[in-house]
Amino acid sequence: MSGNLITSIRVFTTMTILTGIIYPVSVWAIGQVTFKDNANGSLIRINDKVIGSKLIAQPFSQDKYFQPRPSAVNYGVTPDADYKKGNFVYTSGGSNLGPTNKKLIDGLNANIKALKAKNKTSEKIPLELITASASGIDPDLSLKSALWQVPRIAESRKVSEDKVREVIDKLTERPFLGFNGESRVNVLMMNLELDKLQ
Amino acid sequence: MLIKSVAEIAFFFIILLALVKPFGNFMYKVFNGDKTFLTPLLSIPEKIIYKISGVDTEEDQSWKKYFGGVILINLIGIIFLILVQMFQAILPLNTQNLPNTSFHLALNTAVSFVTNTNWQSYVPEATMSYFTQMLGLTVQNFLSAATGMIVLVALIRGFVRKESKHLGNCWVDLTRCVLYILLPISIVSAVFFISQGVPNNFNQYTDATTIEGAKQFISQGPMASQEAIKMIGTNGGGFLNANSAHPFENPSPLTNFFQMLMMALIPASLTYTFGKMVNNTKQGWAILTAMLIVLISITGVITYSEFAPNTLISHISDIDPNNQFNFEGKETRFGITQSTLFAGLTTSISAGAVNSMHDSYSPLGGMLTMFNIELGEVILGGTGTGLYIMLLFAILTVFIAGLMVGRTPEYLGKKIGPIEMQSVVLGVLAPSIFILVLTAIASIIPQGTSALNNAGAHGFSEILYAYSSAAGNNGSAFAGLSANTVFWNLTLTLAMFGGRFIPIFFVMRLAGSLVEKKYIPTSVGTFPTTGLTFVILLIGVVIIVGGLTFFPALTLSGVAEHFQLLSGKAF
Repeated sequence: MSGNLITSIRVFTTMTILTGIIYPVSVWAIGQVTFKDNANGSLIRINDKVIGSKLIAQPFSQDKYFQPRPSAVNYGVTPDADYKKGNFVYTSGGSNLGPTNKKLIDGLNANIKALKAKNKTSEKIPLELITASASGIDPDLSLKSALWQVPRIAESRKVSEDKVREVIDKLTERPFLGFNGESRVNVLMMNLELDKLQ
Repeated sequence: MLIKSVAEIAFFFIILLALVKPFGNFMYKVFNGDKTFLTPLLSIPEKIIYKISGVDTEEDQSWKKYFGGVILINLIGIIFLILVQMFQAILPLNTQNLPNTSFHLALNTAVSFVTNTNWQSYVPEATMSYFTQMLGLTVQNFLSAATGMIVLVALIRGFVRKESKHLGNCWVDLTRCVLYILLPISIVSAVFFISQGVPNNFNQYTDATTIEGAKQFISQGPMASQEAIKMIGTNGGGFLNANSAHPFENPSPLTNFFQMLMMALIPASLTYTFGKMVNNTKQGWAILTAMLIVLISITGVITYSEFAPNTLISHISDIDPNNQFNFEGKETRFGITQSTLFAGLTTSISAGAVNSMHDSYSPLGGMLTMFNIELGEVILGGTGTGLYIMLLFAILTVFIAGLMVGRTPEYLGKKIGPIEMQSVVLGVLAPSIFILVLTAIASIIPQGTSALNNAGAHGFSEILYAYSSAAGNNGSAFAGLSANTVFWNLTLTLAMFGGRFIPIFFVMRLAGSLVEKKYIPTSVGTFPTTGLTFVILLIGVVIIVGGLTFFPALTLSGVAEHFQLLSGKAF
């Protein structure tokens, strides 16, 4: 037994070095050399300041921007007051509200109300635009949800709806092999593109 | 929509099936000590590892010695991991100055990762330093996956070897498993993940000011390296709270497909390895067939349930009536089918990674993800774990078949006696006891119910799911449950530990008993375990054991909620 114990401590130590140090550090080195931008979080900079990551949704409330799906974690935003105190928010996740939860239904109704106040379209609202995503930072919109917002954006920016639709077309990402997953557009990339229009 | 959905599911299983034979054959060679295409590259590192670890590669171990080795390295892992978490504040690579964890969380997390459960009571990006994630959690992702696989290999050797006392050398098996199987796939996958957008760095979290001026911290860290072994080792513990739903862990439908393939690859291919080891690959195909029939059926129903509209919502007139699928807690890029396929796989494979929030699933869809776990994690199951428990079910099946025709049961040429049946039944039933007893306790005391995020039957589901997940070593959750309390952390620890090591003990004891037996050649009276009859009987036994044990509890959770929903009740 004691022989077994010593061997197991030695094997454990070796394995920790191999899988806990050598492995992740090698992957890190390969990643930093081959795909530096991805490996550092696909960050987007404007005037050398990081404004976010391509892969992470950020909140948009102005009419001239596409809005992402609702977030149960407020997009991981740290409120200004907390930021000043150094209480930073690091989080992600969904609402975890079950299908019979009143909060789920009340939340949907509140989201509908907010959208209707800002959008004068008579089109019915796609369900994904009022339901919280799983990550709370879903960077994408379905084509339906993006198209639904076009009239508001066009009006606010005083451009034609076709111009806004062109942005969606240009940035649409297709499913893997055409059928695995969904077609989608990245909200942040669309909004950056919209800002280039004017 | 239906055609697309069927195509997505079919495409996945076709690709998976195409990989089973080549990869199963590769693993056979690794465990048999044969040469593989990696041998020229890895034989020297392998020898170095034996040398510095002091492993006597010639030693052939009894079941007790083999089991002792497995248990010891796991216990050492638990102690080490507790210490790492409780001292992470003074250890390096803590870019966000995260504090030490509490003891009960450290214990829960340590047992969770060592048992391949990867239940997470904590929000990773706000709790664990890079050091803890890398040297603590990633290491256990490798070792726990390897533990399951080598216990399986020992059991199969129990069938194959005759009148012997020896099951092989656990240190050699462990080393070869990590070095030849887990590490190479992890490196390739991790680099692939980075190429698709998964971060891998040691930077501080990025302090970004968004376009509209909000302060948003963007998580960083060595994610890709952990993501790879998280999937291939059927671990499932996320680097980030949203797990595989997080666009950093799983950025696109392509990475999602790849993640699903990775978690299914080893459990599915091991059936071929098993067939090859017992010198009759049909034995492996029969078991894989039984697994896939159940897996595809249940996944189909989950998918159907998520496409169905929620009747509490569908009457709201402002919502587009044309696609009222259950989008709450799902990601746009995956849509319904890539979410439900992932959910079906992760719960039956004992991976526990999630790319959608099961807590927000429809009553029946959510219940079936739980049922997948409660079947005993044998529908593919975890790496090694799934198959060794499934072999217990196979023995149970031949035993029942033997009773029906009045013959002494035998499986793979070994007579099944009282010691074997004792081990089988105790190994199969042990996890259920933890699930049912602990669920009952947590449902009636305030320490249990105060953690719930949902009321009514759905709240009960959160409790039942938690203990099923823990004892089944799955790790997924109805994640509304706030489990980072003393009560939950300790009881879940108990379920995870018992659900892992009690079956391992009985599997090793079974292997030790089988290996001593004579080989009986097949005769006309032998119940064939390669045909359709066996497959159907095996499915029946799995469903009946899982079904009868959990049907009452499931009635109170998903079934009750389904009828409440239909009658328009909300809580």
